[in-house]
Amino acid sequence: MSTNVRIEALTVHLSGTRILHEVSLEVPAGSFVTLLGPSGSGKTTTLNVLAGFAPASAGQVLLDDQPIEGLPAHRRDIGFVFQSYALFPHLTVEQNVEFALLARKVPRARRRELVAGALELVRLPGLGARPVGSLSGGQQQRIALARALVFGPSLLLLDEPLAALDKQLRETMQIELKRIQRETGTTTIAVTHDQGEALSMSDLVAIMNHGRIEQVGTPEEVYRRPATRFVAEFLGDANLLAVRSGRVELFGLPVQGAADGTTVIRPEDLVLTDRGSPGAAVQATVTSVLYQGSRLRLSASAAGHERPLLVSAVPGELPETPSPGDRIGLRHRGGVPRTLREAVTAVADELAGADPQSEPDDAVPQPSFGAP
Amino acid sequence: MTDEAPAPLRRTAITVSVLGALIAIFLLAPMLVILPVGLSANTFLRFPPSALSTRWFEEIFSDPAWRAGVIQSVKVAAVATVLAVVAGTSAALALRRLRRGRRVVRTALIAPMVIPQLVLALGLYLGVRDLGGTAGIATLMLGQAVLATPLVYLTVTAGLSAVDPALSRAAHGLGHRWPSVLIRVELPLVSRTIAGASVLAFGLCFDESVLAYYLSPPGQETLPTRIWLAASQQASPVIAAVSTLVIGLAIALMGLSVALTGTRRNR
Repeated sequence: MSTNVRIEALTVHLSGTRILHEVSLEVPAGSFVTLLGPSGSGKTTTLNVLAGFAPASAGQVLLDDQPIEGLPAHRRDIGFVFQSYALFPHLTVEQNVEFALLARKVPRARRRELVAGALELVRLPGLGARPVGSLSGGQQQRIALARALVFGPSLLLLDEPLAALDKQLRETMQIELKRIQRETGTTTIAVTHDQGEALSMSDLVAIMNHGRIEQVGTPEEVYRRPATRFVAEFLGDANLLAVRSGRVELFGLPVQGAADGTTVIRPEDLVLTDRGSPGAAVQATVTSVLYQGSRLRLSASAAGHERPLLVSAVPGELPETPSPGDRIGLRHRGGVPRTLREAVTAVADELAGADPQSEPDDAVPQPSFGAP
Repeated sequence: MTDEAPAPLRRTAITVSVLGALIAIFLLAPMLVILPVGLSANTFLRFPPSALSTRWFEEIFSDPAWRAGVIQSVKVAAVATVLAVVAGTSAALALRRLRRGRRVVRTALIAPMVIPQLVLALGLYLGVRDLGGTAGIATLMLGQAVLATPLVYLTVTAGLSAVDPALSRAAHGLGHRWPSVLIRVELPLVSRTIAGASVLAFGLCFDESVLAYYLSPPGQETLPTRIWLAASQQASPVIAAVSTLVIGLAIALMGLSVALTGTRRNR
């Protein structure tokens, strides 16, 4: 019963400003896809267009290959969880959850069953008679989920679902969201600006910037093999190093991709060695040390490189904890880094500017920019 | 935390309080004169009264002419309030959905507050006559509804601004068409504000005198018109007594309205 979603060249103009620029995305049936990006990147707009809360200027959205363009929000059969939850404050928990069923003229007895089932699903049974104002933030979040799922929607949309919760609750709810999504098998699109959340919850992550999708891929793909500089920097800490004539500066590693440009090396890909040991590729001086319990974060300056190199190490694996001023050796853990494309925007603009007709139609749904 | 504010701030606070109290006395003084005069035992308006009695209040309740005036005022104000509440609430809800031109419509809605009532009265009188009718109680009800509509619109708009717009979208997204969203979500959330606005509108219409004076036909005068007529013919303390009752009602309605709109049950 899962529905696949296809977004094709979706463009949105709002009062003269372009919010979305030809966004295309394929969401496989039953998968959990996250739109990740900074505020203003167009991710919430995409969600609003899907839900029917905002009009698209061009492009289309297909649910199971059916365009939904002409359908008003109340006929789309999409569950939406708002950032503020938007629970109806004048109704009880039960009345909130059964709200969608009232519009569908579900008989009373069946409504009871479905509401009970939905409350069971979010692990809050027996709360039906409570006014929603008396619930905690985490409970409200679960009720909002139950309300959005009770009618068996074809698609579930989550707008910053965890932003309003405190850190500990957020981690619990990540696991819960994932469980509920898997149990119902509902195709889900979430929006977040929190990279950790996106990486841990999703089957696929789409990173958005300035109204475009920069890269789509599995959490591991987008983290390990970012396509652009923006993606590399947005997803965690990154050492950006120049590539010249097919080799990474300082380390001299061969790269995959263009012979000149920039590549990213994650802090955990750098290994500390003794200075002067044969494996050391780079000699550096420690400038700062941050002990974080399970990890140790170092900054080190290397001759010929302006920005400090970021290194993340496991404290137990080091013979001794380095301190600022120590001279260390660094080497790359292995694997072939890839040259980043400068920005997807520049490339897309070039294409659009050159000749819009020359883009083949079948190139529109691009599941992943990151596939090698 | 220090208990005492810095000296200059304290001086400012004292000045503001004293000025505020003086202004309040200035505004309320006429009312303070009216009450004792209404309780006077004298036959003529006179301040301070030489002796006190409740005879004038008793006269109001025993004189059928005054009673008729009260009943007429209640009738007119009630109908006008219903019309104004429907119009003002509809406008407030509709303008929330309007994307463009909101300011123009808003200005048009508030216009009755600044148009001289005399002009409105004359316009209604002539307009009804040109349409082949005679200006009467129905015209008065309509006119007062026009006066009260901005008040209702502004109050309900203020109430709606405290309601998360996502609630309406949530209701749509869950499958409800707009009439259903209106009845199930939007109106219940502003029901207390609407009640408060109705009370205010009723108060406004009940006291309204300019339209009432020009538009009520002889023999169907509302209370304010009757007071005016009585005052122009005689200087009896009964006028002060009636005024006291009207002021008392206005204060009671104001309090009720504040109680209704002030305590937020929802959010």
